[in-house]
Amino acid sequence: MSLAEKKQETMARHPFIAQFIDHSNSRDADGLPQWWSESRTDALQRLVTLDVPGPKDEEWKFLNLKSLYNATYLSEGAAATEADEAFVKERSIPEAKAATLVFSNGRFKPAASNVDGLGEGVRVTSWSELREAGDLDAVRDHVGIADFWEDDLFYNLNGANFEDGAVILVPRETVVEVPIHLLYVSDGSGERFAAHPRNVIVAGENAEVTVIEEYATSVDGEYFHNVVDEISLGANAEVRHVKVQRDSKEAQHVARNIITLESNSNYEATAVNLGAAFSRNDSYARFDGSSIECTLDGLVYIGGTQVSDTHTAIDHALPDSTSYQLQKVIVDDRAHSIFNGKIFVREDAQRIDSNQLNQNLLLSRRARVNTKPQLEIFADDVVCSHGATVGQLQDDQLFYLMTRGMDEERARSLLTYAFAAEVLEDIEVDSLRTRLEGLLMEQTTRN
Amino acid sequence: MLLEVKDLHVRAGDEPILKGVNLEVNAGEVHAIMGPNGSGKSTLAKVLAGHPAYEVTSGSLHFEGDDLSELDTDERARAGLFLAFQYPVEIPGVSNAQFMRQAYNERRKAQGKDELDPLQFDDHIRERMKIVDMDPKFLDRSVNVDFSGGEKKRNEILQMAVLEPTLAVLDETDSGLDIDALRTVAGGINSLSGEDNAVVLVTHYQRILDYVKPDYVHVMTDGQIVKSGDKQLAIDLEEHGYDWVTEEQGAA
Ligand SMILES: Nc1ncnc2c1ncn2[C@@H]1O[C@H](COP(=O)(O)OP(=O)(O)OP(=O)(O)O)[C@@H](O)[C@H]1O
Ligand SMILES: [Mg+2]
Repeated sequence: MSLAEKKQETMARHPFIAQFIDHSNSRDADGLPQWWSESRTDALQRLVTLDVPGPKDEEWKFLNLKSLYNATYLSEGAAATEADEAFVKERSIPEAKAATLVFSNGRFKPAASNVDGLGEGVRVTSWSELREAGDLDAVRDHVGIADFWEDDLFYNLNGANFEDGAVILVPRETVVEVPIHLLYVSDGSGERFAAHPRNVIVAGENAEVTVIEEYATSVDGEYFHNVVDEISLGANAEVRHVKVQRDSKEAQHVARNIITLESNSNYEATAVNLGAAFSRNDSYARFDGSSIECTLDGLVYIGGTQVSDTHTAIDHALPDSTSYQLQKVIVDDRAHSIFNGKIFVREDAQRIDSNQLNQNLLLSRRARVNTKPQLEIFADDVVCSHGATVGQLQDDQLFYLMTRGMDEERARSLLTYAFAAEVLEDIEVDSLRTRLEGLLMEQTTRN
Repeated sequence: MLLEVKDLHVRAGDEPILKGVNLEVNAGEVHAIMGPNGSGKSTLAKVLAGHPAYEVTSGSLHFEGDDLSELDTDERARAGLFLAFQYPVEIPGVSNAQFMRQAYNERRKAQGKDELDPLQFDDHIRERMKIVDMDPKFLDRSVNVDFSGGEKKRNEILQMAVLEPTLAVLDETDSGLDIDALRTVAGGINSLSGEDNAVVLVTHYQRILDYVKPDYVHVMTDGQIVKSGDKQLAIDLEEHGYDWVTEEQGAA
């Protein structure tokens, strides 16, 4: 069957996929380096063979994605807007003043961005800017690095369509002193659109950098963010990555994060998921060396009819590494959270220390949680702990607080806040941590 | 009168626990309630604080003339009623300082006074901590989490010192304290009690009563206060045990 015929067939089966094949085909291929057009073609070829994942697939259990699949989307290029200046200002992070990349409906906005004096050789830029400058080869070696997602629909949708996103390259022996803020602002007032950001973060040997990746909405609406992050850490590198997902509660957010780690590197991620009608946040950490430290923490706080799904895989292939994972989830109203955390300890991965804990707090009787910590150990000399809890606010704690004069609402909010705050404690960017704590406090009081 | 408990009957589920308790406490008084395990002392304390597990089936509770059945737990607290728990509750994630400041400010608001911000409160609480000889390092720790038994009890009295209640019901605050701690905590209780407030001590040991001198001692058995007297009663109990009271009851 020719590609065109296959596309016809896909079209009939899955208009959802077919429209993104169309989007891809209508993208400007002018001056695209060969490696990029090849990777686009690869993605397209895989797309025509793929199905949309659904409840029958192990990794997509519990989900009803009809509203995602049945919608039609404009390509982000057709939904271009300027970033709302006041909004960008409100969301700006003072510490990152000299390192802010602003995207509006998926497109880089140089005028709203600011990158200044980050040190020699440090590049904080975007795909569109690199393309304009004819400098795409700078990023070439750092994309398409994990075949883990090869058969994943969303990864390939992104592969066939991405045109923009952040590119952060920190050369060896270089410490970026200020945090870098990626601010994705979406304006949902127009027709429904889909954007496919591709963020590349590379820290060379002994390099250090902090990245804040934030999704925010200036005007609520239905849109679809389909993100891929490719993160590589060289030997002894240190990357702190905070993701804040506050997309519109009518929007859909899917993200694939690939992290590859070389010996002695340290990756510390905190993913805060508050927004979107449906969010799916997956991370795959591949240990390509020994003595690595990797932390994948997360906080999910959802209500209404929101659905949030986090899948992580930590793949210990070599010895002497440590991984930590604390996933805290608060579910209110009729919201639904899913967590699946895989930890592989391969045969050669001796002396691994791996901790995983998923704690869920149900604030309403109709709230729903599915959790599956999953440990697969093939080595014998390892220390692993994993577990999950699902609970409600404790009556004896509420009573105790109330005997000290706090009314029930106040007591509930304090306990809810206390449950979640632990995840935010480790965020080192003060203004961001304070802001998130404030947001959390606000949300616990509103409920 | 600060507290008036009249013919109080209380159930937990279908289980009758208090079976006609009478108690009157006036300002300036110290009362001790003693009695065997399971006789209902903590239940009485928790009912005073409005614990939702208990149902008052008959009788009445008044605090400074107000019918307590009309006040929620938090309203009772803000009105000046304080309960030190026999088993203080651990609250992970809430720092002791944050917790006490919230509690303090709730009480201040209810009294129509200004709230204190974290800095002002820090000065205030460090001052109060001296009363119970507590290390300021406990301010940053989560409420009661990983506190030793004695530290938890001290922390309860610290809360009493911060909130300055009109009526403090201290449920076995002396249990689990070493001899020095007992003296410190008793000293704290004494320094916090005066003309305008009152203390009800639930205890198993007459030891604490050497430091905190009770005006009245009551004996509770099987959900009733069956005997009241002065400090001598505690000494007699120590000597003869509770059987002596029950036998005396039976004989009477
Ligand atoms: N919520 C409850 N549900 C059922 N039974 C209860 C409940 N609370 C207390 N009880 C029962 O009521 C009785 C009195 O309990 P309480 O805790 O008041 O005793 P106490 O006098 O404080 O004892 P101790 O000296 O051991 O502290 C006990 O038999 C106890 O098991
Ligand atoms: Mg008791």
